[in-house]
Amino acid sequence: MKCDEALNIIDMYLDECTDAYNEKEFLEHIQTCESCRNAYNEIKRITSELNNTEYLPLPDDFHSELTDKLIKSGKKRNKSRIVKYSALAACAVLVFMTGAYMKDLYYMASSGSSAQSADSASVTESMNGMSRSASGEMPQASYEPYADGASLEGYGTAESEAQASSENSYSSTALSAKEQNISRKIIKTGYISINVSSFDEASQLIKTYTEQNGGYVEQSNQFADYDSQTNTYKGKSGNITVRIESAKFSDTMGYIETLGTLINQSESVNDITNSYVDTQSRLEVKEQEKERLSELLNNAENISDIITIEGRLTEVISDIESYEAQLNAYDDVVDYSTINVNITEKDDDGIIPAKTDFANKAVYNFKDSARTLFSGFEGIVLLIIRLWAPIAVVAVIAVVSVVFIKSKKNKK
Amino acid sequence: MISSVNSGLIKKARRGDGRAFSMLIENHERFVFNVVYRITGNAEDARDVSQEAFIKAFKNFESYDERAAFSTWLYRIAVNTAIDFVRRRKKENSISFEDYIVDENNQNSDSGIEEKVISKEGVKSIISAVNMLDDEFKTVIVLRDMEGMDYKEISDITGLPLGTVKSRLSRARGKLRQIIEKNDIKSETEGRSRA
Repeated sequence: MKCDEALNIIDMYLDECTDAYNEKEFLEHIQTCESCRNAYNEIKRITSELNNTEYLPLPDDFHSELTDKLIKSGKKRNKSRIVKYSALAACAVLVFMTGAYMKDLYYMASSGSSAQSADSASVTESMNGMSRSASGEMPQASYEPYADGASLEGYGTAESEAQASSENSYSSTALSAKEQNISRKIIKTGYISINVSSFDEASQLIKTYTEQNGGYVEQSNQFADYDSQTNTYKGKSGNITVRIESAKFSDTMGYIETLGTLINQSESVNDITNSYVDTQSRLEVKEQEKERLSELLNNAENISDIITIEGRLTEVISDIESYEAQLNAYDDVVDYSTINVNITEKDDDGIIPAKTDFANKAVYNFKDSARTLFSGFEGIVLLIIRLWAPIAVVAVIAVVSVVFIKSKKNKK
Repeated sequence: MISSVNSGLIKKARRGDGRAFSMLIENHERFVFNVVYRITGNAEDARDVSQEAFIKAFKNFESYDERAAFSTWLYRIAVNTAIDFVRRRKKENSISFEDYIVDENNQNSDSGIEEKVISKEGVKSIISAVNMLDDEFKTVIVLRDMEGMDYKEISDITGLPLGTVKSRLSRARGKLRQIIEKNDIKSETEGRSRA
């Protein structure tokens, strides 16, 4: 065995980790090599001395002092844990609230009334686009004969060309409106039938709730029910038609449901976006035609021309009014959902009385809260889906930072 | 691993009961105090640092996995805390700690315990030499040669691979020998010049 090997083995030998062969070789080497023997003896002496160093006793008050510190630390830890959990709970609530709010925004942007102005703006913009292209496309030559005092036949040609142009511009308008992704126009209608212990109380509660939420009762009626065989009075029944802001449709349905025993409930959604855009486009085209006819009327020189143009103008104005009325009707049904409520008063034991007491209000609020929570969760999921790209970037940065910090720590 | 007797204490300690944790560590206090003392080289510091280590362990008790040995987990925290302390002290203090130990005039009035330990001249010079080692070498020397732990235990406590523990221990002993030789030569020279 060489000296290098022997020096490397000293520690293993001292710690009884050498195998028999190495041990024999090592012992033979140190018997012959004075330098390695001295090294071995020295290390043996050092380790032996170190091994024999006395164990210090603990300072007298070490344990009591440490216990006090631990108790204090435990109290602090519990306090900070409470604060931490409270903060986490607050954050969770905040996130859910934000989610719910985002969902409302999302919902309103797609069908709610508050977003209508923005929707109208986008439609108007597309209309303006159409107007510009239509006016650009309007062949001035078609009007020139009239400007030059052309005959009525010329008008007929001009009118047909104008109509053809209008058709083109109409179809291009409808297309561009679709292309521009106009927000959906959705009509929501609900039907709910409930049995209550007091018709008057239930109908009053519905009216109050509706008015408090910015809606109105469109129509209501009530009847006295009699048993046809015994001719005895059974109670009142009736219908109430409620118009409520579309955004509050679900809440209102939920509220009415809690007023008695639910017998029947249905909801329907009708998407009228295409019809709405079509009508709007037709209106725009008719308005342009009206302008052109007015121009022609101003330039008309003989009576027969004037009579013909006026006749057409009257038709166009009538169409415009009709389209405007239709659009107003659409806006009305889109902004305000309709809920038809059928209420029947029954004194049967199985009928749950109108839910006005605390317990039922609590149940309603509990359900409402659960709905909000779910809605919040849905909102968060939608938000995450919408923001997936920035979230992914932030996640990558975070992972890289953590890895970098860890590697730096390890180097230290 | 912790005995079933202590499982109740563990639960309480995890919930933030300082007294329960104090009972749990009672049997380890002296050992931890001594390991820390040997790394820091000063009884006063050892007292503060070992208490700091216990509090750190208590605060992080949730991270302790009951399948592992409690003592190993605790000693690892103690060793790391002591090494951190020594590094911090070196940065803060330009005077080396080794001088503190070697120079008797600088010794604390409370260090009667230390005097007991380093009463013998030979042991004193070895302890001084240990304190002159780098932290990484000092730790393995303390754990192996002063506390008598085996390689596996040292590997668990320091988080180093077994092979690294062996090689580091070998190098540490070599360095220790060199320092002692140097000190011996130095003291001989000083003795002659005085004479």
